[in-house]
Amino acid sequence: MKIKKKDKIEYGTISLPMPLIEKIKERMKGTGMTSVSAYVSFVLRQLFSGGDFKDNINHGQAISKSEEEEVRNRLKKLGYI
Amino acid sequence: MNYKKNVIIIVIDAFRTKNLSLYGYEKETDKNIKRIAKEGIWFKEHFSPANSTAPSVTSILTGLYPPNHGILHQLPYTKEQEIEKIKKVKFWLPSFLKGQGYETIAIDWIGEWFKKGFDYYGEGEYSKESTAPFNPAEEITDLAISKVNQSKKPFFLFLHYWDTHFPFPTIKYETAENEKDMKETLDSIKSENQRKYLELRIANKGIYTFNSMKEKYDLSIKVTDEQIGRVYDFLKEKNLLNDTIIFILGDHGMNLTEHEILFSSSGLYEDSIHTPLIVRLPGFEEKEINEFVQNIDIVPTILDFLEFKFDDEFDGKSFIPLIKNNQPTRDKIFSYDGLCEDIVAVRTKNKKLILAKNNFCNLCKGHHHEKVEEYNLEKDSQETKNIFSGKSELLEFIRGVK
Repeated sequence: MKIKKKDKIEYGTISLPMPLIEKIKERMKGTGMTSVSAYVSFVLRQLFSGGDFKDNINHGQAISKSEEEEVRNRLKKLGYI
Repeated sequence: MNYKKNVIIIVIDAFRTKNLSLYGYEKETDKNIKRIAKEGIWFKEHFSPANSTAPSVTSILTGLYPPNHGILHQLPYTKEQEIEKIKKVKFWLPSFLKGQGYETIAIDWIGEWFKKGFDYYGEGEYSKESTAPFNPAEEITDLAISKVNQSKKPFFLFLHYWDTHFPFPTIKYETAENEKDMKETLDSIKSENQRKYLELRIANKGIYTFNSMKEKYDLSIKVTDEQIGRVYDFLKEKNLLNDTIIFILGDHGMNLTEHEILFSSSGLYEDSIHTPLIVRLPGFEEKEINEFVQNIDIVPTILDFLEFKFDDEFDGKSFIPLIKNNQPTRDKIFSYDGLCEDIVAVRTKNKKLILAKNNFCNLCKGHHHEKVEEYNLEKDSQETKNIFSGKSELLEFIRGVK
């Protein structure tokens, strides 16, 4: 899936060593990011905003037992269980 | 330039068109929503791609139909393979906007995969001792306003109101003395499954008759409508309206007693899937739209409005060309039953076909559809006469799609 900005922002070029690019490609698998540039931009934005980028592009984050139990309790109150 | 406009999606649970004066209801339950619709874009033909929250909200945030994002069933009936599939989805709106520098805020409680990509996900302080499984509309509105007030970046606010969900636990309702006979209500229900289901759900809830349940639904809409008015007025006061895209919609509908489906969104009749949609896009004038749209169109519309180029990997289509040039987005809508095992509906402007491969309802343990049902909606808008005669163009079409 290609999503890019419509001709509004100017872009520059940076160079990265090829082995690092290969590592980035490996790391970005399953994140939904479609290019190394998009992934690197995302990671840097997160870094500058102080966020935790690991969990925010990956749907595989585990749900804790207590969270799961709380959701079940609420669903029970709504009559789903 | 629309890049970095704020984005707000307000979802009202179990919210059908039929009980809003905007869509022809005799009572004015929706003063504020009507006001916002008149200042924005009012979609008369919005159909949910699923009749339950988990698949429908996942469609809102991915731009995909349930079979393509994976979540076919409502929690807790969601299967492991469905959750595995959503983990691999390529596009997730909160993560995308966060990546673009937005502060992402969700006021909701279902958690699970929905939490991903949000800087804040929750509904503030919730007491486990509370008899209601969620915080009331007023409290979550306070929280939403405070989060937006604190935000220093463009924001994406996903705000989910639940007060309209049966049995309306946050709504105060004085039951009249002559309306306190639950036995009479239960005795009037023909289906044993439906009787057991309703008895379990209304026990100790202070509602006893069908009439009082319907009154309480109307009241829950009024209460939610007031809070939506508060959010809208707050944005106005803060001069944020021209910098904010707003979507207000029902995630799915609700049967009160229609088709003998009692106070749930089971089945794919119109009351389960025909839901309100009101949109405000800065720079666009007020308009009424009579063409089909679905909530899968929201992601492409946001990306289009924010001036992102994207390919055709979404099931939805931006409805900006529809608003600008009256170009219809689609001639058919699809909807999937997230409470029953395997039921899908396809609807054109005048016909509807419902195909039930497995019609077991996980919620009431009964059945709501025959194997194939077809309705002529021009002559039979209430879907009372199944005209399926063994052959149908829509059946062939839907088999091809599945």
